[in-house]
Amino acid sequence: MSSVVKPLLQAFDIHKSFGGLKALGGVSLSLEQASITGLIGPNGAGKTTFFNVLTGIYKPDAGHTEFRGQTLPAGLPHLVAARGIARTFQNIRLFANMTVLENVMVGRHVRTSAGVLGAIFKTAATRREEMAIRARAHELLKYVGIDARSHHVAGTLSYGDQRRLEIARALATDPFLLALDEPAAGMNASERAQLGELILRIREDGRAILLIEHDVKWIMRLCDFVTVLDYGLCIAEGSPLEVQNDPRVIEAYLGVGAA
Amino acid sequence: MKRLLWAAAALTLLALPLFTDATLGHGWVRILDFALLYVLLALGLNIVVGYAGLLDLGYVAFFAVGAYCYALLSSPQFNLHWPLWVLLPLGAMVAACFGVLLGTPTLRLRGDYLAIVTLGFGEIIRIFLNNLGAPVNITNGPQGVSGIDSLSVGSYNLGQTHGWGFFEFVPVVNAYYLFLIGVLLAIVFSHRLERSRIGRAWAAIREDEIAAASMGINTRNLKLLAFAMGASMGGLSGGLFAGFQGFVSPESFTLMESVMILCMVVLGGMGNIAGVVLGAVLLSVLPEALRAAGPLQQEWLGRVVLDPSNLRLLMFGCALVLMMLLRPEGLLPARARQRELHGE
Repeated sequence: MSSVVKPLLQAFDIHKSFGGLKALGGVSLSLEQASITGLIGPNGAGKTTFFNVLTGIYKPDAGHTEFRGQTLPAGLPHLVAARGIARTFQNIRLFANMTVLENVMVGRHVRTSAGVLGAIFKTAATRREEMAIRARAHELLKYVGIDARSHHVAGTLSYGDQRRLEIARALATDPFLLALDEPAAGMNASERAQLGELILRIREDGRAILLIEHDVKWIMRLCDFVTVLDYGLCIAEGSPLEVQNDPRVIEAYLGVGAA
Repeated sequence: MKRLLWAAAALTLLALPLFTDATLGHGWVRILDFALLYVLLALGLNIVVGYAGLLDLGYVAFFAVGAYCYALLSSPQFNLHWPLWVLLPLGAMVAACFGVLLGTPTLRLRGDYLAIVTLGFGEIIRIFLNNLGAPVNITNGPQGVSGIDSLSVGSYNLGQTHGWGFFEFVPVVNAYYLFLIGVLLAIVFSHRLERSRIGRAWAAIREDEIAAASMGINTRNLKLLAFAMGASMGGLSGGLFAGFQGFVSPESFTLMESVMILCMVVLGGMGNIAGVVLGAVLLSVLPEALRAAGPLQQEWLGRVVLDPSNLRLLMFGCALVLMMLLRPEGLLPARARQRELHGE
């Protein structure tokens, strides 16, 4: 990535506290176009809080985020999704009683427009749109490799497939940035490898990826950049190699004196 | 084969009031009319509760708004006599506006809290209607509005008896056909909404509001839309009710009515149109049928042991307990509800 290209996303000095607990104490971060960035840090470092602020679920106390040259609306998740940031959740949040296909079709909501009148009168435009939604949903299910299960109920899928479905649903919103919160949690080595391939493929399609992960080895292999959070502060960022050798990172993970 | 079944169903629906009138009399056709109004109400509430998952205990307020809208604009109260084709859509629209108005402050609430606040709103509307008789007389207070023009489509007055060949179309039979049209429209609308982009968004909100918002669904607008769509069906039903009865008063719009409509939706099966229709018909027709229990006891036992009205409440209570124990998802549940309550 050359420095002349404007970053896809820049967060400036994000603060967020919950009562007396300072979850984010001024996090700044920038993401390159079509890159994979890992967000790591010990438990309670503020990674998920940062995700929630970024995607509009929380409103930051201070700071703002610029995405594709525009300030992101704070605290309005549906507008963030409309701008092109889609996410998955640490504790999978599928629409568990809907089918796999319906889950992905919901993801198309933000890129489609049929309203009440279109639905009631079943206009030609609505029918066309509905067919396009269905086709795109199947396409995405094939893309993540679970199209065979499209008519199963989402809640009955295996854990790994639920993770994939969540990614497919997020991709259905046509995001420029895909934010994955611990996508490999609870997966075994081969599932992890498959997921890594999927993530690389998504980047090849020109989308940027931000992911939270605890498996440092896996993330070091996969990511172009790594940012380390600790106690709500960004303590290091750079290429995986730089970060790995940063004394502050070693200190945060292993304790003072280990470096 | 399927087409034949549809034709048979259509014929049955068309012949039902004439047959009932000929065998059981006007009273029973009237019961059918009310059943249809309840079906319309239940279908409206189903959009709010069944599709969007918003528990509304003040739904009867929209029925009241529709009814008063019709009553005030088509009676000697203000000496206005607007035609049906203006009043019914207008009533539905005014009710929809009230749906948005009452929905807005409740957007952040869920479950029990939402139920309590909507219950309060339902009561507020009724109490307003009760007290808007003075100092400026708008609703005529607890006396209600009477002398409402009877329903008439063009020059065809549904409140009069018309003879067509062999058949005699008495007012209650005429009303049945008008209400049936309303119900069929509501069914088609509900069905199409459910299977649309909007319906999917409602289902997503019902399942997981945060995930839905993160997928770009404007949860605020879609919840308001659900309130508005549900309310408009309530308003339509209210307009028909006012024109049919010729009289409305705040008494008809008590909390008990809201609870009853909710029971219809839950008993039949939230989120499933066929279930909701079944629930509404059962709960509006069965209690009337139980009235016969008094004379029957007299005949068989020589005296009335159980007062029919008590028997109704008793059976109603038992039915509720049994349903919650055996079939909490309703008689004809939506697929998703069944999964929610029984696993797979």
